[in-house]
Amino acid sequence: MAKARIRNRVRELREARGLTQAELAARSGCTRQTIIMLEKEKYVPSLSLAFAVAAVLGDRVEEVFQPEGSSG
Amino acid sequence: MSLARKSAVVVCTVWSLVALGSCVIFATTGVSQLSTDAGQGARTAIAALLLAGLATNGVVSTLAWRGRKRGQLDERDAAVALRASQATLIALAAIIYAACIGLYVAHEDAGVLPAGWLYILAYGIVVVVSLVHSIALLVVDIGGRVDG
Repeated sequence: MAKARIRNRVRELREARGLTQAELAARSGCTRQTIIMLEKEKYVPSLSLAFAVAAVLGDRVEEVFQPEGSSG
Repeated sequence: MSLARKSAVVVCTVWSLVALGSCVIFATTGVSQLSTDAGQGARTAIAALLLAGLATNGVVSTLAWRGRKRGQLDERDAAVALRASQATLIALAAIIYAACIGLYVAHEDAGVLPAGWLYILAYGIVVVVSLVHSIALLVVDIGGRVDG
């Protein structure tokens, strides 16, 4: 089965909350490099990191990460 | 630059120098001389180069271990390392296969293989593993898509 591409709104939500990449990384327990790659959609995070990032951004995980083609 | 990328750059640089130095020593000594008493100096020099490379790997591994405890490495770094290791395994198999078949074809008619080639193969594999792995780490880290 082909893997669905996961889109995310990390950059949009992070900027809306006035967070830097480094701040988001520190609060969600990953490196800044991972946040950079998340925002470029070159990295699909584990469930635990996805929940952590969503929690820091104050949104539900399905509002931050969505499979491509999903209307949300 | 992240700790993982810095480590890969350092390892890649050091092992490139080790590879270059080893090639120069192999080329100037000659395969036939390598396994004789006259090649003792060359063997010692190559061993010293490898020791320097392995010491670098040790220092980088220690720094990575400390960095992981401080949160400077995360799940993506682990995923990148896994992907790089898989690529290294495939590349290494291909390189060993090509080297062995190449030696076989080159010496098929003679029926014997100069012992120096086995020395070069043994030491060459150590160099190639570290070099290819660090290159694979950089390629996957910078450009590759990985999943957590």
